[in-house]
Amino acid sequence: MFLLVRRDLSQKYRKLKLGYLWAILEPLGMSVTMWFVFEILLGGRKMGGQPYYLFLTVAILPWWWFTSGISSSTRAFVGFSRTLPVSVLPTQFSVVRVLITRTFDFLFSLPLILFAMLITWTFPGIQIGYFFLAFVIQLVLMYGLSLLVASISALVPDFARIVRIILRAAFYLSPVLYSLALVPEGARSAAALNPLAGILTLYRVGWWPDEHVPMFGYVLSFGVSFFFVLAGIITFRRLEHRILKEA
Amino acid sequence: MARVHIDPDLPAAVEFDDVFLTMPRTKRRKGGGRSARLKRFAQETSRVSEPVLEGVSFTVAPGDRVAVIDRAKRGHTAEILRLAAGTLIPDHGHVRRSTEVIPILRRAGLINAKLTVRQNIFVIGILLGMSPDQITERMDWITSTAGLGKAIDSYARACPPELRRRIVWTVSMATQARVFATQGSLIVGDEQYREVGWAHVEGLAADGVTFLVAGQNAPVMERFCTRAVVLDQGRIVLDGTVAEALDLVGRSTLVEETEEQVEEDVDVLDNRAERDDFRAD
Repeated sequence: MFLLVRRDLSQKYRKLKLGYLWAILEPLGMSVTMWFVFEILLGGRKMGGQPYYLFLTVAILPWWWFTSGISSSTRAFVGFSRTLPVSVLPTQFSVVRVLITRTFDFLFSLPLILFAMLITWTFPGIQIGYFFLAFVIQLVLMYGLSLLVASISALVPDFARIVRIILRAAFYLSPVLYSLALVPEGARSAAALNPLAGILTLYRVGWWPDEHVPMFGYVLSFGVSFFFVLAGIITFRRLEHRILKEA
Repeated sequence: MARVHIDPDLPAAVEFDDVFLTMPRTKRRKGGGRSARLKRFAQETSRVSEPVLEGVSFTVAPGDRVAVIDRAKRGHTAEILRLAAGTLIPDHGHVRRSTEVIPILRRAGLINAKLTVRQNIFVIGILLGMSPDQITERMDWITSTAGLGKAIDSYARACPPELRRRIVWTVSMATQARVFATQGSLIVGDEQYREVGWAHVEGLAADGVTFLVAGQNAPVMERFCTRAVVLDQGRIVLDGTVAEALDLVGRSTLVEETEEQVEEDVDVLDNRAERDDFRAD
């Protein structure tokens, strides 16, 4: 499995002059832009914890992992359709393969947080442990969602485009640019329905302990995550024989 | 977890039990082009699935060498192989197997031009269920049998389709499985390489390895197979000797094979485009 992932990674970066640096440069560009827009151009309004650049980076990296993982999973079965007829490995391996490749991209980009910590000279407290919890939860959530998205888009190609729209909307619906604490009281439980809300908040509490949302928010958020994982696995089981026919 | 369920207590090597299968008439991902969409709009082609197998039951005993023939020119014998190997799931009925079945399909199309030959061997080997250690161990055998020599560390894009077929064939054989399901010709390559292939395959046959040979390659079937199953309209119309089967179908020539090769060469070009799609977004 890891051998296949290594092949995918080397194949992806081999042609590029800067190679693996691109795993870092893409989210870096995104976080710098966002920081410029929301801190410099629209400064004054506090969108979230300070320093804002670090606040952004901590959420943008997982977000990048999420969005690139889900959008490439739309091609998981289609992209490997040549190998599916002969592969004696479980069908879901093509999804796992894409997911792990993207996870490595994410891990490669983590030094960016270190970089942001150094230039803002802000270091996390003991609650940084939640960062790893968030990582695990996100991994599980992405496995389920990737399965769901990959299964459906193998059968309905239009679905890949729908996913792209949903992901774009999800960027603004999730607390990447802002803090969940800024959402008005009435809308907060609606915001907590977003599985990413809980995850992104957990990533941040190491630096900003006030970011914690009430227990109820986490339960809601992770409940929805769990639901997606279940939905992904069930959908895949139901559609597996049809996916294989398309290969 | 494994897709392929193996039932070691089964007396037969592979058993088809009242299998029904329908397949989509055109592959969805190939229907993406504008012309294909227009055709579908004009109802010249449809997405309706067609029945491929309708209640097929037969048993392959260990050591059998079965020719699978479809009376229709463009038959669905590849689906039978995929069902046997477990890379396709029947709509109704069951396919059981007592050991791993290695499918040998899409020979040239499996090679990824962007990787080196060695990397390709690893990737294909893993897909066929070998562990990296096993592949390393059998690498020498693969290199010498496929006649790779120095080509092993060059990029596969330099390989002609003929060599690609040889590589995939050799890696499949290196799995040392007890059951093989092959499509088209059992043997690949030029005259000289065919001899190597025949020697290997006949050695395996003498050792009691089971083969399913699909397609319409009459000479190969006559020489190699001990039994034939003929399908017509998704049903078995004959299960007997190869001679009986060929009498029924009419002796077909090797035309089928050349057609298949053309198809595979197209596959190779296709492959490049498809791989490029899997890129950084």
